[in-house]
Amino acid sequence: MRRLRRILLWSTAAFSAFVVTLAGMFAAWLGGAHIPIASGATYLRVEKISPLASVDRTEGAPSAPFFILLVGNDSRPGVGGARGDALHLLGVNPARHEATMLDIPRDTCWNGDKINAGNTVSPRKQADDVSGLVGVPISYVIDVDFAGFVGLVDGVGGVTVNVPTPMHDYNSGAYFSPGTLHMNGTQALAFSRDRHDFPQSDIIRTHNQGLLLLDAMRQLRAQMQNAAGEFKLLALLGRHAQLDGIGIRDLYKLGRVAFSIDPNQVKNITIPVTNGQCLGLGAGAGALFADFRDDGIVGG
Amino acid sequence: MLHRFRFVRPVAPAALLLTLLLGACSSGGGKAAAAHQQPKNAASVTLDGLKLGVVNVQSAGPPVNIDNATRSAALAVAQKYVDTAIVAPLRDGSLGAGYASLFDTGIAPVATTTDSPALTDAQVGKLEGYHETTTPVMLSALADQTGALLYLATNFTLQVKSTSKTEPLTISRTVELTLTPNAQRKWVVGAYRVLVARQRPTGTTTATAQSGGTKP
Repeated sequence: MRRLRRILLWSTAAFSAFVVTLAGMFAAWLGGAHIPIASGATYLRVEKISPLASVDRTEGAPSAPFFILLVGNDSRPGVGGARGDALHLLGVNPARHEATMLDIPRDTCWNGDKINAGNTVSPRKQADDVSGLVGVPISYVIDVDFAGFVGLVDGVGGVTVNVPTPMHDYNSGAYFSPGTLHMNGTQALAFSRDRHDFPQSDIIRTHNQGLLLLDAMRQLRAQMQNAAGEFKLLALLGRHAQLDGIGIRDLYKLGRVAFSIDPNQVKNITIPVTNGQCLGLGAGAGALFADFRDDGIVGG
Repeated sequence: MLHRFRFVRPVAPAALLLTLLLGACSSGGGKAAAAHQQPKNAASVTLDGLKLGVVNVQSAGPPVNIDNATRSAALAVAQKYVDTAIVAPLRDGSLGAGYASLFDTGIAPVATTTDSPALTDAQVGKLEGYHETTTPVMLSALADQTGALLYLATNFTLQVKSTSKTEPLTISRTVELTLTPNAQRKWVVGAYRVLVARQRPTGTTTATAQSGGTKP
């Protein structure tokens, strides 16, 4: 009986020692210590590590919605004034990774005149006029003339455009069949200027400009995934565009955000307008602007 | 009751001693352990210093050349990143000194926290030995309309292969560090893109990795 009790006692003692040891090892493991295995030959540490991870970060990149006005003006040799014939207001929502581009016909009325007249004063005046029309703050303007537009498109190696309808326009030089076509700068300019082929004239032209811009964004996005591509585009913009409210350094930060957005998440909307020489705002324009104003995107 | 005291008396100190002993032996961050492991690691680690490759300069103004001092400064930042974010954790188990100071003050807080799992191998911890290979560093630069350098970017890929047969691991990393001059005109990292894949022989699907080494 005494022997049995002794065996029981020693068994209990050994088991307790084992449990305490195990608890100690567990505590040490929790504390991040390396635990020697009984053989003493190896130690083992188990940690969670990320098998695949990626980061893309830019110091000072905006996190709140912002608005950029893209202007194509009609300044060229023999024609001065630099009216804002192509007006596209891009709203970018970094948090939602979405954007909306509002295409604004140049003949849209604003304060008794066509809205494109503002650009003859300055890109800032043009931005103020568009800002007044839509009701959003426009901090940045990128403005190109004919030569700048051609230089930009040629600089990026041309742009592939899906031509929606036949174009045969002597005034712009646009002679295109429907379908996908890789255009150089001169062709892209002709495509963007053609309005005589359409009964709705400037409204369709404005929409086509938006299509070209989105096609260009899709192609540029691939180039904008590394610094070399980004720097090339930024240098081109610096050489060929007039920048207002924005330097190259800011453009880099905005560009990293803007080109992180999937182009399929960018809506292209021509604002509703009435007919006439000076186009008034059409039905639904107020609601559209209100939707755009709150977060830089329409819908959602 | 007496019997219970008889039982506790010899066992408790023994267990405590055993636990303390184990704790002391297993303290991976301990100086003794590190001192033992360091020579072993140092002997089996192969490092290739970064070398400059293609240089590409874009200017919004007049043509610009990057002088040798600027090239060296950019390369030095990239090298320090490799040393502190990748080499040091795999060799010593923690980030190297000066890692945070590589970054612009606006981005340093996330570089040392949220983005650390991709930027660094601090999670992986020490490897018994490894071989590191890198591609030449492509250096891109952007100058403004006056020809002043605004940004330098270093692009390279880096692969670390564990030489341990028991804990094979391959870490492949594509790195882009975009440098900008800070207030002191020192080039610091203002933006980055980093993609890392840590692969074990069974594939990249596991989220758990083991790392270890021979005990001294």
